[in-house]
Amino acid sequence: MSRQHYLKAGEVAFSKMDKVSAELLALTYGSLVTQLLKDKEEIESVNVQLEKMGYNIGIRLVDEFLAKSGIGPCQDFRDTAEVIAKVALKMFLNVTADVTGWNSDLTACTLVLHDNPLNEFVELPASMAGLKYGELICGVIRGGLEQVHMRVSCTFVKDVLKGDDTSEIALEFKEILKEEFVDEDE
Amino acid sequence: MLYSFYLYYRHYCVYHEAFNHGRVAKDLRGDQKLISGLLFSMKSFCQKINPKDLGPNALGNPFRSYSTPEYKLHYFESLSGYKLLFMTDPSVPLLRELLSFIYGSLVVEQIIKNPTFDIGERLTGHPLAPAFSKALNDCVQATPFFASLPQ
Amino acid sequence: MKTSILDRQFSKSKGEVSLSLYAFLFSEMVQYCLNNVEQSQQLEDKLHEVGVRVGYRVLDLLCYRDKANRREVRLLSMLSFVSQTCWRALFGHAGDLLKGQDSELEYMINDKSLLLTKFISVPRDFSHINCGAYAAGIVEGILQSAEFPCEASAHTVEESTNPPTRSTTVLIRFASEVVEREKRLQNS
Repeated sequence: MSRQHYLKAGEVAFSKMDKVSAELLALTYGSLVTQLLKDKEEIESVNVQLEKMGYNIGIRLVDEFLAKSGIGPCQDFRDTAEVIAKVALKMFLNVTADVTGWNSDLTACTLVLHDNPLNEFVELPASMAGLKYGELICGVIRGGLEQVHMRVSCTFVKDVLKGDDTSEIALEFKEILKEEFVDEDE
Repeated sequence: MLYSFYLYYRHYCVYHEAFNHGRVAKDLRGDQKLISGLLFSMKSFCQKINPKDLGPNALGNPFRSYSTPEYKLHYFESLSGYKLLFMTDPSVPLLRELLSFIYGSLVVEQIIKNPTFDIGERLTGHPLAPAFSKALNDCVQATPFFASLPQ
Repeated sequence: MKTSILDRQFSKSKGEVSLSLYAFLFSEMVQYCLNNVEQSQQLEDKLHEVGVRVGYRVLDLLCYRDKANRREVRLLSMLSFVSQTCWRALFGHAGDLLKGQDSELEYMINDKSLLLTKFISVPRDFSHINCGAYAAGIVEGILQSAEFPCEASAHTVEESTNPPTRSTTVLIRFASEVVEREKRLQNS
């Protein structure tokens, strides 16, 4: 499936969604992050909590994605990354990313975000350099992929909020989760 | 004529409804396990004897239906592991699109997106079940096959 | 070189995202607050707190964008700004502004289909949770930040329409000095 095809699919999918102000999302998310920073002592546990919340979102969001985007099974992990970057991110966040930096095995890549609506109005003080502000998005991706039987690791490695030129997510394929037949006993 | 609807998440049945006085199993749980085993085996089997070689990693499209002289089983599966099936009389044409619709508009919108429902939880007996049942009934009763006599 | 956030333009509205993602995020937020409080009352307080913080920022943003830095000092203009401009920017439509019958300190903003309560179902264990507490927090944050000290709370009413809808009312109770100041301004 070509990049063009996915770009178009992303636009079509987003156009069908009910919309809400990006500012409201950004302000709500910012307020949530502030609350977490207040509740937790360590910045790392905020990162973990954001990722976990993202995961909880991802395991549900994925079904809306599958139902509304019409995207079928991916051929390989390259395909998967492109779908996330061009269709999924577009459909929910109204942004797209570039997929670059593939390793030779084609199991790891980088998603370069042109824009991150969550970052709107945000400035990170130097004392919070360890905070992965947008880590919720990484959790969403991990949760969503787990539901389609793929275990991955996903985390922010560069962030414009920290002075980097771009915001980048490192996405790495770990394993296919086999569908096992388990005799479920109540 | 529609006899029944099943919704599975992974390998266990989260919802079941019988229509038109369809077969009421004496051992519902046992039946549900049997069907689950059937789906798993069928998918695997169909893939193995596929005359077209799709390669080792291809998920492929699982089987869509099977028929006996007495009934037809229609099957739809989402990539995320939700399995929907109808049991109907053999003359009913393939209802895959209807199942897909039920997945997208009912299961996703009413159940998965609802925070009171834990993913993987049983829907039968859940507070959301009556509304889901109503929506499901509205949906299937609108089809021409709902109560059509077996040909 | 990192551009300071203060140098960035935000005169244009930034755009839109899917309602779905927002709903999921809000849901997770409610869930988080729920797991971090002990009694149901505190959930509302926590949501309120989160809302207040949003309100502080909303004021800065919208004031700058819509009024070119002119501060509202009159009570009704401010309330109008909240129920019209702010409400529209946040929830997509205007709210209805009403005067409280019982006290000159009270005003209400009513919303027949508040975005938040439309899709947030009440968690099983708590039957009286009102996520309008979040909206009330936003209102309180906006007004406090604009030097109109007050307390805002939310109440939902099930309308007997078909299908039944929930109408949310944010009750604003101003500090007495606000009303006194308004009277002084009126007389001058």
